[in-house]
Amino acid sequence: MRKIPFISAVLFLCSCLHTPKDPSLIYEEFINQKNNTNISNLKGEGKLAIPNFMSWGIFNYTCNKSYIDSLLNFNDFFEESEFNKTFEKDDTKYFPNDLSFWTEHTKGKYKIDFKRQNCIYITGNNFPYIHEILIDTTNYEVLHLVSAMRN
Amino acid sequence: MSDNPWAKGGKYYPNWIEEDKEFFKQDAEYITGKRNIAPIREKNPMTDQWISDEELTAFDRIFGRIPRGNPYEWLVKIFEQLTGLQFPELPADIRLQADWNHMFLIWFFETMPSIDNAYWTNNSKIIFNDTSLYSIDPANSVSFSDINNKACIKHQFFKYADDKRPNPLKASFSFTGPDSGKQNYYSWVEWFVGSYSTHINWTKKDNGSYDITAKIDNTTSWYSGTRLPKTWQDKIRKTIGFEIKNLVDSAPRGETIKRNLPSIIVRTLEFWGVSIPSFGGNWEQEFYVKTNWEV
Repeated sequence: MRKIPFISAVLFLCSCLHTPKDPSLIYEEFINQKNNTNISNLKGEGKLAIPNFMSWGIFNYTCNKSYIDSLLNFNDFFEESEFNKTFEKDDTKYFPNDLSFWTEHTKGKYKIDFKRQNCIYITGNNFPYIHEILIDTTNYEVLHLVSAMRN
Repeated sequence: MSDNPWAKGGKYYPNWIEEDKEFFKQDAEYITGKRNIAPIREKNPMTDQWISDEELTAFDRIFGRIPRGNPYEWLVKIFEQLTGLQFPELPADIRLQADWNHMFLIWFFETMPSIDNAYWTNNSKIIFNDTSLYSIDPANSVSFSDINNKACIKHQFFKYADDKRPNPLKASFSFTGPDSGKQNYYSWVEWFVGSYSTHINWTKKDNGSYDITAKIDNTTSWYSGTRLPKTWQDKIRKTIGFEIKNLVDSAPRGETIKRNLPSIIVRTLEFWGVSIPSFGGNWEQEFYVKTNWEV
């Protein structure tokens, strides 16, 4: 009988400690934005992990022009943190060059070869997640990388 | 059977002689490389029978999976199998002057040792002067001085032209998963401190270099290492009605276990004069960093 509470606790923890398979749900988990109507053709995957800073996500989707404004005005942070940073445009040369952290899990399933001269790069932190978003302004295809940080 | 009970085969002949002979014979084969399995001969306490070759082979299969020598590696392997993630290798540091392992011990065992060029302001806060080795290491660390990584402080400093850069400049270092995976990139400074924010006061010198002074604040607690993802926190709150933010609760020094026990137990133990131990209580550090940068 004493095993029952233990087994229940383990089952309960296992039910919480998972990462959804649906890319739209993982996207929501990382950015705290539900039913984003500015994006379509969303593909992607990721992992929510303990320790939290080992979490990651990679997404391809297409967006409309309003998406860029919605990011730049985003302020729906998960929690108050000195490490939150509003989304802002940055020089594309600062977009990560080594993508192996994301691609080694995904075995070439996602498009990563974007011509940076055609792109804008938007980055921001919704603590603990860091978002690096590369948007090709010729066709509005997006490469969106998520990593996590440890406070 | 021999008539002499003490001769070989006799009633009182000590059988261990034959067993020892067999043991040393196997041992000799083992040493010369003829056998793969060490000649262990023990009794199984459950059956009180000698352990058979089949059982030995089974044990070898089970224990052979554990990497020899380092239990940390074994734990990491289990963690990796459970989560499907590759856990980063911890740094093998030759770059540091201070003993950062000592810092972990001070935090975990909640001690207050005296440290050169540092002073305690109360039982949970220490200040390291800019001459302390514990401040010199952060000044030379990757997180502070890698100009090529946008997660690092020096990169953020030189992103600004001199006339656009505020003084002091607020900058923050992010200890991220991708960078933590680079072998021997971060040192124990970053693994101990994690992410941090700092205000940098700077003066440009005639030779074009910059004198830099900064203060790094850090609180070491269970929260930073065992934090649960926010969505998991939400699911737990919805299901059981109260919040669990991290696997191990953060608490002030002296109270980490006490805060997790029901108050009746705490009161009873205190009534009987039992002192409740505490491990890894919140510990604040201030590092005063001084350095000189060139582009």
